[in-house]
Amino acid sequence: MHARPRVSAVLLGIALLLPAVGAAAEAEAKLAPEALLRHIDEKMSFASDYKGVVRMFETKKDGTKRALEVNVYRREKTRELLFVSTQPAHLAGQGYLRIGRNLWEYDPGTGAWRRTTQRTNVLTTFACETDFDRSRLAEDYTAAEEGQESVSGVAYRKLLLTAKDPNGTVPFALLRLWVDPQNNIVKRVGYAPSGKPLRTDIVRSYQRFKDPVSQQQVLHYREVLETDEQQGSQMLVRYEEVELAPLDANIFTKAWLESRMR
Amino acid sequence: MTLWWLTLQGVVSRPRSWVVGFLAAGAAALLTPGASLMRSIHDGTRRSLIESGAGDLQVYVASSPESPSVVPGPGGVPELVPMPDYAVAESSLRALPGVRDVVPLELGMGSTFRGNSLDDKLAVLRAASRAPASAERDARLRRLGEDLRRTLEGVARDSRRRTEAFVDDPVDADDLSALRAASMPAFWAHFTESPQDVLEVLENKVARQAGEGEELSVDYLGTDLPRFARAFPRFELVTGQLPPAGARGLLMGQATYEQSFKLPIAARLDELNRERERGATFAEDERLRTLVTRNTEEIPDLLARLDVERATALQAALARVLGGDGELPALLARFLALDDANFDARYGQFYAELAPHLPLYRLRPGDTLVLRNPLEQGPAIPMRLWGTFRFQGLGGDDGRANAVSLVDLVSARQLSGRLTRAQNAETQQLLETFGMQKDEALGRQSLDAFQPPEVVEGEARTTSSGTQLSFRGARAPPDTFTEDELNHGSAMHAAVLLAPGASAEELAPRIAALPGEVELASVGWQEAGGILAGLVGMTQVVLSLFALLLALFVALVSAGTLLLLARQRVGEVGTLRALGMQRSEVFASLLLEGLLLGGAGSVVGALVGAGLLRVWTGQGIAIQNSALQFFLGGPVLRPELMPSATAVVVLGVTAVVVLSALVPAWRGSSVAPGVAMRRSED
Repeated sequence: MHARPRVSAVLLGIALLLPAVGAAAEAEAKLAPEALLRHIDEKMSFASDYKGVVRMFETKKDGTKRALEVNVYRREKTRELLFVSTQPAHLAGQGYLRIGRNLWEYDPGTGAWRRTTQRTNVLTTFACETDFDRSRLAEDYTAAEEGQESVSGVAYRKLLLTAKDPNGTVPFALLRLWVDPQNNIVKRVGYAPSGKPLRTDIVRSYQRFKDPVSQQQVLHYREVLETDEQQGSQMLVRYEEVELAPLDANIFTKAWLESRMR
Repeated sequence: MTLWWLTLQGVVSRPRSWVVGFLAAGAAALLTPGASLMRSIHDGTRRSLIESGAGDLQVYVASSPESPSVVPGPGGVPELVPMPDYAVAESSLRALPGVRDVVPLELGMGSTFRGNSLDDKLAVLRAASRAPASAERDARLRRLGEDLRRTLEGVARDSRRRTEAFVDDPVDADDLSALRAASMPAFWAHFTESPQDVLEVLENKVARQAGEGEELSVDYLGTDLPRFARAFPRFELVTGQLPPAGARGLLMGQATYEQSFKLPIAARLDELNRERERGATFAEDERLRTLVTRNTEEIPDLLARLDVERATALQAALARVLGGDGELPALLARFLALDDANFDARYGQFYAELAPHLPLYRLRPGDTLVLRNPLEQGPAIPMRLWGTFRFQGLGGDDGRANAVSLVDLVSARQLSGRLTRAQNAETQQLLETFGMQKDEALGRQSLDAFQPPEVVEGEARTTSSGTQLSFRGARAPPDTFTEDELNHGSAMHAAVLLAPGASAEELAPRIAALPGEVELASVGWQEAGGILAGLVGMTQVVLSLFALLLALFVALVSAGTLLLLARQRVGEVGTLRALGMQRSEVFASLLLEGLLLGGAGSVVGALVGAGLLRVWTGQGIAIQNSALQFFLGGPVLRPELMPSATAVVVLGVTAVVVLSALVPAWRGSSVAPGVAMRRSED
């Protein structure tokens, strides 16, 4: 065997192995299912108050299109949450306010609040309360390993999550997650207790922020494609204009939202 | 002629063969009134549906995935493509010969939310607190606050009992202590100064402990209300009034009003009364006793909904009726302890003495309710209840036909979540502002091919932008609409009513051939009746199966009897054959015997059946059951004897007997003369 081809073969081998070594270095350690849920929750939670704008573009099966803009306010340490639609005009002011274990729905047309038990199909779309909340997978679900699935050459870890309290406030009794080697959720399918798929989400991108309170890097959704499996509607959701600064002390009150309305 | 004579002689001389005739008569006697009854059910349901919203034809856009219905089925509301401009479609339909009227329709499954007893009182309190500060406002707040505090005392007592019976969830402990504190006068000391703070505590920590509230179903037909009332002759206003032209609002089906909006205790008393009228007793029927128990369990909720004045008046009325004093809960419990001996008197006393002091209905004509269509994800729309209605003769206040409500078409369109042209234009503008036009062009995205998500470095503001959220909140739609809004919007389907003598079958192809923006199609009352008309089909199938089984029974017994008779007549057949009678003539004679028995029997049977029908029905049969009233077209059943159906029964039964005589005739005629004569000698 000549020396030149041998050197070439070694170089080629190194060149081929390099990306794998790099990927291995980037890939996070394999965690037990429950630990993985905690890990995801932690890296997606802000210690700071949160304000963001969520823009949604929904296409229904019959081709009808709708666009919505929602302002989201969150104080994660006290579980308080307020999200309110600001556009389009005929839905402006429709809001949801969570105080303790109550979720209040505000109708700007009547000026009435109602305590709702409905955690799905909010804002006249198939969006859920959890879409605007922080990740709380470990609190709400138990997880079981389901092996791996390769899609387009990438191996994803699959987990089946079962709600700890199916009658509680979780939108889906069962949840299946596809997690990439960096322990980020890539795909998420929510099921009814019967196992019927209700919603499929594909997380297309994340954005990373430095939390001004904890000084930690926090991962936040940037673009998610959501599909309602029952109605066939699809919704592109973008999380934008994030503000990690202290919110108004009275923001999580009914009076605050009522006073925002001109 | 000889053949007929021989056949007649054979039948008369063998009484055993008459069994076949009797069988045919019995079958015809049953099937003749059965066929009339089946026809009555068909005609009755047809009349009921046509006169209560279905019309003779329902017209819709031909490219719709499903066809229209006037009642929600098990699968909900049919999926239809809307007619983009209803006025255009209506004028084309009206131009067709034979069309008497056209009424726009849109079926929807609506609901309205009702909070628990505390939610209701807190909503009143919050509304009062929004009034400008004044001595009157403070006085009203104090009065309402004191009333609520008394209610909370009751809720706290109940929760204490529950705590003793069940282990408390530690999460509830905080809420429980808030409830107990709120029932004390000290909690209310500064209520008039800062009502919002008090309300926040009550709404978030206390109210939930009285239950979650409930969604009440209000299935509706969106339509032009005055025109609907004119077009369908069974429409009858029970309470309130018809909305004036151009007014938004709701006319509630009387059955929904009675079942969902009446005080539950009163609704159960009505149900008990209906059951007892049908002959049920407390002693024998467990269901009746369960209703009584449920009424007793409902007392705390009723008490929580009463204000001080009503509670005092009710207590006095109860003391008068029962002849003794006591606390209100104890008096109510005594009054509602019902049995066969006291029910009739108590039922009368309830409406005469107690009802004036009770909130008998949650909603009265003139009140507003907030309606939404959760399935279509449309907005919530406040709507005035103008009145309640029923369809005459189609069941009482518990009937399915009277459960559907009517709303104006303009509100129905909004409830459906369908966007107007202006809203569609706004969507396009928003997509541009959001920078999402590119995504719009991509269409539906695949869920199977995905990649690891991209992670980008984000930039968040870490100091408050200082800009306060401020926007123009969506307004409730106005109370009125213009003629143009009503007619020049979309409609999902339309009921077409025919002029006398016009035929739905002839009109349907003309509707399909109408030129216009969209191609139209139509279905008849049977399809538009959905689940209601489907039951007619089921009845027809059941009766047809019964007729088939009866025919099989008649055929088997007739064949057996005639076969036995043919064997007994082997000798006679041999003699006839020896005298020169052909085999075919013997076969024909035996077959004629079947024809004679079957024909005579079925004619006699049909006459008996017709007589029975006349005797049974007389001036008509009164129908008490609401569901049956709908299927039979009204409260009185008058089945008519139909000559065509009777002829079919006679011919059918005769044919069955003749067919069953084929084998015995063939076997009887196939014996050789010599063999037959030998057997006869043996």
